[in-house]
Amino acid sequence: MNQGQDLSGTGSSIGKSGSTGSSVSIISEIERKKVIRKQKFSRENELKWIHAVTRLQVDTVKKSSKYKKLVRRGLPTSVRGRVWLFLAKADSYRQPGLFEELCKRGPLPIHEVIERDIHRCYPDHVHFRDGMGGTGQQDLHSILKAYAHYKPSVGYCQGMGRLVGMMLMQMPVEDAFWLLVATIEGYMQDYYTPSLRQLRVDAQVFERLLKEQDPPLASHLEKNDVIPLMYMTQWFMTLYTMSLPWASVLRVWDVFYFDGVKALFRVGLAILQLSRDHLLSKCPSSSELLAYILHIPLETLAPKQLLETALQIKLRKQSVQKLIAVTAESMDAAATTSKKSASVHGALASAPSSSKATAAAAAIGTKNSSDNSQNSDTQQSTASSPPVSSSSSAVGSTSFSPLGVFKTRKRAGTLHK
Amino acid sequence: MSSSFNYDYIIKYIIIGDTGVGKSCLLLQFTDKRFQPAHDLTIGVEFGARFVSVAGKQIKLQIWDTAGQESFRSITRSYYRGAAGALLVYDITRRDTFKHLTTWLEDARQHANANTTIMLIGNKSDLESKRAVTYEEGEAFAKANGLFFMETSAKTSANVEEAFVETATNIYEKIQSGIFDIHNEAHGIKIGPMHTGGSSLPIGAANGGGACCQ
Ligand SMILES: Nc1nc2c(ncn2[C@@H]2O[C@H](COP(=O)(O)OP(=O)(O)OP(=O)(O)O)[C@@H](O)[C@H]2O)c(=O)[nH]1
Ligand SMILES: [Mg+2]
Repeated sequence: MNQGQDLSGTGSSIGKSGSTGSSVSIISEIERKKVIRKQKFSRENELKWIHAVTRLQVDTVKKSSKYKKLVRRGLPTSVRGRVWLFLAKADSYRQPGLFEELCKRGPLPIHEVIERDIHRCYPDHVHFRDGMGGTGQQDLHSILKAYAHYKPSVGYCQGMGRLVGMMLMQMPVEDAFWLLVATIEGYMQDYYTPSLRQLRVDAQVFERLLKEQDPPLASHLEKNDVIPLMYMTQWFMTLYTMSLPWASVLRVWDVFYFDGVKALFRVGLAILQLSRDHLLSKCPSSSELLAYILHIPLETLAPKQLLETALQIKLRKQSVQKLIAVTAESMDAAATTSKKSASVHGALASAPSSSKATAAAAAIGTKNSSDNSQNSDTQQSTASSPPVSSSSSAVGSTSFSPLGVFKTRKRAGTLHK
Repeated sequence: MSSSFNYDYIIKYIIIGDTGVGKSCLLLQFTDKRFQPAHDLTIGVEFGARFVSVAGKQIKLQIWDTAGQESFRSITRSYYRGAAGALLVYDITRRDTFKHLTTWLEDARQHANANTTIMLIGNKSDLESKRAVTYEEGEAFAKANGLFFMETSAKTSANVEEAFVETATNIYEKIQSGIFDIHNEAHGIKIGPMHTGGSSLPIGAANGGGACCQ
């Protein structure tokens, strides 16, 4: 079922170093040893995860600093799907036979919307394209339709398709369904509900964190009316599957399933940190800012840089949770007092006046720490190729043509030439 | 006149309408002159820009392409602010997208500037055999609500250029007649460097109409 991709990060990097030629034998000897060390590491890594998945409790694993370190180096491709399912506690949601039963249920009005969206979820990915004979589209279909039956209060929201597609690249269809359930329920409650409530709360929290982490950048964006909702909607709602190089998406998901939503904030802040110089010096107005933020050159977001930057941003889980709670509370209060909650600008403008939220924000340290920076993740960094696709037109890089036109660029799910 | 950095005005547009009507495809056709049959879903907002020339003036269009799904509306409403032009799009092969125009229009009227030029667009005109909304119906709706109207095809590019440029022309006329205050950013218009003959200092007499000096 899931032959669609094998993102063998380890495999391909080994293949590469093996073919460097024979000019200097000392170098190739060093290379060879490196490769052996990597292979040994990845085999051990794999065994450790298999041990965790089969023998350990999730909560124990999540508390273990050893596993925390391991997850940050990237999960081995061979066990990635299984580990995600494990970390998300998918089995605690799983009801045998239910998925199959849901698939057999009749059509809902929302199914029509799903149908129309299917081919626009991963248009560049051969596994999910029209008429490619693969089961990808059909599986995507079944899962989204089944989910609408499973959770009518959520139904279907655009963005979910990107999640499901990613899951289907790592595991069989029924597992993917339960992972979706576990992900929404355990990590992303209220993200996909019709009001997108959680997203709006998170946007405020994000703005707050950015202000603390990088006041000059925050004020530059604010001055130009670029608010987090404009760019983080896509980041959060698709769990970064539309915005990062494929290898980075996988790594972000690894950390996400381990650390939770906190990881999404960290990655978002890291993206801005990696772009800050450009944003501050080359983007004098909202036009340039958005053009850049919505299409950040993927080269700048390679796994090593991105993860290192993200993990150096110190965010305490409890503080983030508290800030989220307080923000939600003050947002609800603002919504009831002024009926005009529809205006995002209004909501954002009114929030900072809440002293409670400010205090909570102050409680969060965003100091840099370096204890996580010894990430030796070259083994699956840029070398890992994204899912197969035969699309060629979408390959390129972000640039402003003389006409001020966006060029398409490679995204997750697009072929690396 | 041809340099990208020399322009008289920047005008902000917003594209709205139901999901799947072809908003992103219209934008891509306008900015890149190509059609992508399977375009990515728009989650949140996309952004594009292009220069057009109207009455010998270089105008930079900044275009916000919004997500059409209902859920995203609470978010996309914030983009109406300061839009001088709005393209309201429906799909001529799907009647429900036409029916929803009233809600979209209400949204626009409530959140956009009162002087915003609205262009109603019946897209996918290449799919004549699947047509579910006649040209006359579109035209009548536009007339009744004081909108401009065009049928387009993002696929064949029919009328795409025209829809964007005609909207700009109308906005330019409004600038000339002083309806839009170019010094008020909420009106969705900014003066470019060309406007003052290279200097970026605003000129006091600008809203008198035709005050642009070259
Ligand atoms: N035949 C034909 N198909 C079109 C045309 N414009 C768009 N389409 C098709 O309609 C589908 C939806 O187009 P999009 O541009 O993605 O729709 P959208 O309005 O941006 O939708 P959201 O981003 O979800 O709000 C595309 O996949 C195209 O295949 C057109 O002019 N003719
Ligand atoms: Mg779109």
